[in-house]
Amino acid sequence: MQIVIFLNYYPIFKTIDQLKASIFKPHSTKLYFLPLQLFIKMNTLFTIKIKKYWQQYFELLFWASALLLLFFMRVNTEAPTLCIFRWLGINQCPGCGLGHSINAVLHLHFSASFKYHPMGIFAVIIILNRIKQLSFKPKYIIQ
Amino acid sequence: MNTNLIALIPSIEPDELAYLQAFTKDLTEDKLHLFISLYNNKRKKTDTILICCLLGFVGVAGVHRFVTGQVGMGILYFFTGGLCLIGTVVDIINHKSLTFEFNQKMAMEAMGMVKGF
Repeated sequence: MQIVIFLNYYPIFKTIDQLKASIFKPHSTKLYFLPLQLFIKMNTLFTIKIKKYWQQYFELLFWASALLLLFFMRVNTEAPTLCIFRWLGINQCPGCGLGHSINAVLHLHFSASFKYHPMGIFAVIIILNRIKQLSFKPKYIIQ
Repeated sequence: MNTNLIALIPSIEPDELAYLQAFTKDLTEDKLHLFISLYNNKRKKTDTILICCLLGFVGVAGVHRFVTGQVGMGILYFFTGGLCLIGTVVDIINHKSLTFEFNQKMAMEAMGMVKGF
């Protein structure tokens, strides 16, 4: 029953204003469905908002958190690798050493970073440029 | 009337439709025709971007970044195997908003060209 109602209601409300209007005017007179309906409508409202913010800020969040985690990465310890290819048993990859390289750039050790991977400096410049682009882009409004 | 014309754009996303409706509110019908014909040539479908992303698993990473006009990112992805496959997976998750961002830019360009006539 829950699923059927959800399927019935989900595609109808395309904008947030329609949803808000429909919450205060339930068009079913069956009172025992009312709490369920309210719950589902609030839920859809919530998911639409979350989806909007997710679409807008996912990439920005990813790049910023990646740079932060690489800054605080401990390099000199013997830790298991995070590389997917290493787990599969492949030891040669064109991006090998990039994490250590970016870590060295963020701590301003440029020659060490060039030794790990020659594209570390370029990568940091490009990623910072992308973060700038993403954080100053014009915000679109749905509807 | 305007909404019907905008719905003629092939495989349009709901977000894009809403954005274009607000963006082309002030245009007359002739100019809207011109705008749509210009915009149709410039825009990219989400499917093509997704397929370009998937090329990263074959070994040619970063094609989608070149296609959407981010050349620096494209070079970085190409020479590091899509940031060791992590960047490729992230862009597959994120391909809809990448396309939408590119299409918004193209809508701006097309609008500039239409206003120039």
